[in-house]
Amino acid sequence: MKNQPHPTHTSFNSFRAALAVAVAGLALGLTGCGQAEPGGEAAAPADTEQVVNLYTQRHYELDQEIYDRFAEETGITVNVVKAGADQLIERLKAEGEDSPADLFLTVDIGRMARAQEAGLLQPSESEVLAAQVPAAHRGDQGDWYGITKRGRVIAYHKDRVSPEELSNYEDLADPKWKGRILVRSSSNLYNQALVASLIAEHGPEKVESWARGFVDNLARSPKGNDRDQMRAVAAGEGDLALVNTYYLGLLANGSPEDQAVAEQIGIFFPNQEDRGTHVNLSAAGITKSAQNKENAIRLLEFLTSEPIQEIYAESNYEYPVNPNVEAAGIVQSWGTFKEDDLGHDVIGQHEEEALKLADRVGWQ
Amino acid sequence: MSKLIQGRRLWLGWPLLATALVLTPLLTLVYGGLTASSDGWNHLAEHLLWTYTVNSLLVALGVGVSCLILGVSTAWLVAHYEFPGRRWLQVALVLPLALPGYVMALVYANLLDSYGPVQQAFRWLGGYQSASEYWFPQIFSLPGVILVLSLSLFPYVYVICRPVFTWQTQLYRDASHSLGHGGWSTLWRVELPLAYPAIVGGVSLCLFEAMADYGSVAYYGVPTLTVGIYRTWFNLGDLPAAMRLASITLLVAFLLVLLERLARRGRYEGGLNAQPHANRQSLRGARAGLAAAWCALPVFLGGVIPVGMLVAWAVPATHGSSPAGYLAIFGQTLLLAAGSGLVITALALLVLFTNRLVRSRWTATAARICSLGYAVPGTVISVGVLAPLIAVDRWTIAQLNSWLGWETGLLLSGSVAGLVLAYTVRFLGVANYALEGGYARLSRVLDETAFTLGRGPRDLLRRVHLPLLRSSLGAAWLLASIDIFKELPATLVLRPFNFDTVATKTFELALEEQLGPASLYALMLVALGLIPVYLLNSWIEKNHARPAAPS
Repeated sequence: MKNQPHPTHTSFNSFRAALAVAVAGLALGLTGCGQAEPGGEAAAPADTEQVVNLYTQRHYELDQEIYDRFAEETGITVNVVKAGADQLIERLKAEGEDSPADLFLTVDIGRMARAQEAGLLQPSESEVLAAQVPAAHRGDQGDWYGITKRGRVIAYHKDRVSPEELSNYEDLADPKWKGRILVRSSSNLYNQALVASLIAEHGPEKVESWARGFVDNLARSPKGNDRDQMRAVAAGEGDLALVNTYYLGLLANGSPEDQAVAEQIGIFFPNQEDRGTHVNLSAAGITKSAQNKENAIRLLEFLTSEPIQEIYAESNYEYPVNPNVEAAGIVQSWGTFKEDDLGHDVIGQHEEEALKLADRVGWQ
Repeated sequence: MSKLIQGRRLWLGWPLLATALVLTPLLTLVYGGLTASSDGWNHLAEHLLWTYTVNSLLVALGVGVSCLILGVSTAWLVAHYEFPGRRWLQVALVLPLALPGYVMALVYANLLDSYGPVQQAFRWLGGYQSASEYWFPQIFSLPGVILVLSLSLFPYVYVICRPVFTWQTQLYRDASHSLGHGGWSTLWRVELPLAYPAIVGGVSLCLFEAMADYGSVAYYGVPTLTVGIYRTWFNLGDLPAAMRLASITLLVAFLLVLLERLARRGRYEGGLNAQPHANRQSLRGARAGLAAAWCALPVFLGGVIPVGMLVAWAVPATHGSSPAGYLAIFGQTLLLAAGSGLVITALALLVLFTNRLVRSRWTATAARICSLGYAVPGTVISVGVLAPLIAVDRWTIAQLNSWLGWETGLLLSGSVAGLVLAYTVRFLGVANYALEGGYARLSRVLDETAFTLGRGPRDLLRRVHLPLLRSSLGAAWLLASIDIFKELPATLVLRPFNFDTVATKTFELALEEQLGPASLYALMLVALGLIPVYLLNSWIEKNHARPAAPS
């Protein structure tokens, strides 16, 4: 047995110091954030400072650089809240006409349809936007505009699968793929939109039996994100993965390990013989409550303008909506493809059924 | 006994305020869930409810048992035995608390998945060509979730039990030894029963955290109740069904609170006398090695390895990026967490002080109710908070307009005030737990003496309780602050424009699969968490150096 020496420092003083810091912090925090808070008077149009308030689901670092550039060129500050599309929709609904948001930006066209259906958007007119965004990629009333496109494609391991074996989404339920397919959760919006497009084509009963076969073919229960699926393909957990196109672009330009993964993977555009590959849009709509509508339209015009569309294409490997802008080199190297031109409203209508169907067949 | 003395009645306002704050959002949810008819609910009940509930209970059970074993065993070893590295491990065992579950999940997913370095090395060593040629434990699984959550939560048990083992049970331990009982016998017959309230408190915290976790279970693909609530509300867009699911979660949480209450009932609330000297027995040879290894294991798995991996991933990301943006968010998060933590601690103190003052069944229940929010997932709370906040805003706007002619937009909702409110609902329970422990050690004789000397409740609080409770207050403030540092889902939904915390940045970058910058922010999260963890530790040290209350 031995006695233990005891610390002799007076921690009461450190407690008081910490308390003082906290009080000061609270005061600073509240006032500091109060100033940055445009939810109150700052958002009013009468203010001398021009702003546009954005609720966005996009979570790319790149986006902030684009907003900063917009502010530099136009003097309009872009205020941003980032969260999931459905969370933002719920927030918009709760805030109603008092909502400070001017623009709502999603990465799933079905969600834009849901916002439209909930009466959260308002129509607009802009010749610039009409020229920059093809009619198929914007709402009829000009209540929303597409910004970028992404294809949901089959990523395959070049050594273990030959492209001749692949044909369409429907074929992925064939027993020949048993234990070879990787996909993320059915909660993911990209998967919901894809299944919704299948329901629109074949009806819910047929798609449910397809989904049973598809889930039987999974190499493991769904987890991780699109890049994880491709890494797992490279590691040999499976041979195919359903992914969005730009993720392979990001992988090919990522860390040395990811570049090694990307080299083993090929891209296949399904359903070229019939309706085309499923394409989803990242799109933005003007909210009904918008108090800075003109600034919102200017931001939309800016986002779909050629220089900015080039940034989306070259840095994030998305397909630009502006027809005058080309996709990035690596994206072009995968070839051109026929797009499924199913309307956004149709996808929106079937997304709920798509999710319930996934629940019934055990697609987590 | 519970007669109200004139002048104490006003204090009842505090528990009233606190219960109103906590109950309003929760009742909003329950009401919404009960009244709305919902097609989605039938779908849920038929296909998913059973899976969600069983998974939630399995996660809670697994995490509870692992945290119990890890937390109690390490606290006991460190408190009673001298072995190589003990002084270092005693501090280090708190460190995993600085890593949120979802960061731990991120690290272990990237480490252990088929494309991670561990399996790559495994393939290289075994000469395998692909992951399909051998069996390897799947990290994306229920056991995987239990592993990562236990590693980040067990320090709650450790932190709460260590002071109890170190000084509270020392006298009884010595008595047991002198009566001829050995280490094991003393542990089972004397120390564990004496530490029982602390153990139950610590394990309950872990259970609640595990029940409320969303990030790790969602990432690892384990469908629990929280995942179900998110999926139903956000993916199905069915708020009523989600509310009903949230009510079930609430019910389970309430049952846990009752169970905890029952478990603590009739138990001796710790030793009253503090022994100023802790006597540690020196271990030698293999036993010393075993003790050191056992305590080092959770430190390595929960601290050294994850932090090491984060550093390895973060270093390449530091090239060419300026620290200004990172520092701004760091400072902002620090202020928010420390400030909200202070509000929460003050409220918890006032609630518990009133309970002690009035000693009625009602105030005791109020204190229980205040802890309920801890078991409710952050996003659920954020919906519950948002609706009443907007109602208050609308009312204020109308008043300002009719009386003063002011035109304003929404005031509280979408402001930092909304965040502070959500944090209060969510984390008041944490502060309560820490303070209850302190109050249990504070003899009521003190209160009677103060009143006999003609002092009122305010003097009692300020001049007696505040100084004597400072360690517990510090612990309450720090535990709440750490939790706010890490809080993700409610912050995501309720934050104002252009407002990022370290947690939201980590999450966004992880979503974007930017492992480098995400690791950098995760490391800041760890660093932010380390400051309070360090202070917490020095307070515990202080605790065993000096009795909490004269008796």
